[in-house]
Amino acid sequence: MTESIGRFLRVLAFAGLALAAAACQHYAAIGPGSYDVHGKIAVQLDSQWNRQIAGPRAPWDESWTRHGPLLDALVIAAGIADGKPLIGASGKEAEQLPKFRAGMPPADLVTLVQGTLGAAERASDFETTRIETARIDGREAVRFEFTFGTGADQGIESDRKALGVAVEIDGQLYLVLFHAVETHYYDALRPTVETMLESVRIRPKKT
Amino acid sequence: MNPTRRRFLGGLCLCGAGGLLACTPTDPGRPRLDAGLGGQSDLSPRNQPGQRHGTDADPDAGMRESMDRMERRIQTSRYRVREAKVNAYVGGIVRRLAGEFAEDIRTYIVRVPDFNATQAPNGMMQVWTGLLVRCTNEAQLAAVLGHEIGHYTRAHSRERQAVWRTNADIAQALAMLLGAAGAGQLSDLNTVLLTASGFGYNRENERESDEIGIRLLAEHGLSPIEAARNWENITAEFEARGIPRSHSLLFSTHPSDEERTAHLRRRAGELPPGETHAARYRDGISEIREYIFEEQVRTGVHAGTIVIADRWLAVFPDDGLALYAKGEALRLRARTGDDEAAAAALDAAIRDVHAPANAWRGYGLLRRKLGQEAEARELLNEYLRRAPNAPDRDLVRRSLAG
Repeated sequence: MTESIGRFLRVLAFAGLALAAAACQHYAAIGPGSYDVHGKIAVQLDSQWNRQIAGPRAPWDESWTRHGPLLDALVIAAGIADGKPLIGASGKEAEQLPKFRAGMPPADLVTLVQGTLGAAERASDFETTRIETARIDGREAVRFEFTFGTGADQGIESDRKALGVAVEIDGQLYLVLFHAVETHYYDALRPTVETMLESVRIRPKKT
Repeated sequence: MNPTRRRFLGGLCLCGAGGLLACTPTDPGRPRLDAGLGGQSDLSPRNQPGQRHGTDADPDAGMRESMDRMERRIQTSRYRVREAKVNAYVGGIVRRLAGEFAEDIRTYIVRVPDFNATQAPNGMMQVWTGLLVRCTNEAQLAAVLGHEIGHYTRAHSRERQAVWRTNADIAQALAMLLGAAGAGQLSDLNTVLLTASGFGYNRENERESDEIGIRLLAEHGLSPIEAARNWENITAEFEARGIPRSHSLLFSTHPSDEERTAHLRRRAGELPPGETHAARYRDGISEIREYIFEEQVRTGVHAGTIVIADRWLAVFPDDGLALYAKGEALRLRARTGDDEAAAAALDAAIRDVHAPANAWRGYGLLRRKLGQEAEARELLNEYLRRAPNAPDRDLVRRSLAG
């Protein structure tokens, strides 16, 4: 019992620290201009985004948002190796994330992205609307769109749309994924995301 | 992705709306159908049929309003399963089990791929699709639904709110007294102990509802042992996924899985055996079986999907949807030996009339990976024939033209 109380008090202390941390800055402004993601992807931003600087990160991923993650989010993962998840997570959570496998067919990549969103965001009810080939930095890539929802289990639903582009180079995956609330935010931000996608330059490096 | 990287898959039960929803993820009484629980004389309803709480300016008014708002959202939600047959089937089980409370409980099937059902104090019951894919017979589903009905008839949410309100009042008063006595530093401990007592009350509610659920199974000729099997199945799934199920003595809202399983097994031995109705269950949810298996595959939790599919296959060895889910999870996981096992499952899946078009795609992609291009082309052509509007049709056509 004493141990449980101790654990609970530690949790309270941690929660206090977390609240204190919340008062600090979790995002840093980036753009407009050029921006480099882990030395592997370069993009041109036509406007300002907010890059998440707190929270678990993998050495290959970044998360940005314009209006806050509940409304819109953009994930860039640069050079995901075979057997790794798309995004960073801590400890046991990382083990539960679905993993990228080199040579994955396009539809499987979409399933991987959806599984990751399901695990990390408790997203569900995915409906893939399009999977097609696209060019990104002169390379053949796969482009996909799907709808999904979040918050059904909490009674605070949010219908969202997603747009992603992925390309595998030397067994590593390069992914840009944008998703936002369907009402207003997705359509409002899509042009700037499309412009950014056209500017993507990939600099594959073996790790 | 949400930069906060919310915790995911943290537990079976995710009670929303400030914990007002009573939910499935509970031990014990000893006795028989007509006897009491753990020394209590009876489990008779605290609610009355047709009773509507919180309509006056009483402490439950806000809770009632909040639940009514949530119910209105669910009624128009994209997540709500609207297929008529499955709603009639699941709703019909609830009505039969609820008896005189049948008109008071409204059932909504919701597209969330986790094992759960919730019962709100206003009568709104949510049944998640993740529960439907994890049950393999009617008795297993009814055990959960009966448990939720128990929460409603015993008015657990209202009682719990009252306990928390009382505890908060006591904590406040004690803090003032301790402060006045110069021992204000002890007020935090006082709060912790009262909070723990609130969680203890939750666990007792869960035990009551487990008992009500298993009694309802027996009363309706359903197999009581299936209530215990639910927990054994969940334990097996979590073990396969490598997730330990933690349990805190003070701060758990539910009894441990082991405690629940052991108690329900013991109780089942004291009650008359009944039917499982596996075939009736499979037929009852047939409209959405393809959706719920596909939804499970898309979680990317391959080890869990394989365990769930194997459970179905133990009952229905030729079930095309379960074979598809197993094969697809193995193919996507792609560990050593998975390709061969996936090929066997997908090969069997496409022989069943209920196999989804995606089984041909998955099997085709697997054959291609294994260097069997001729077979792959045949399977992918069949996929296009069965799913002419598939979102990846152009990509697949292109790969076949090359």
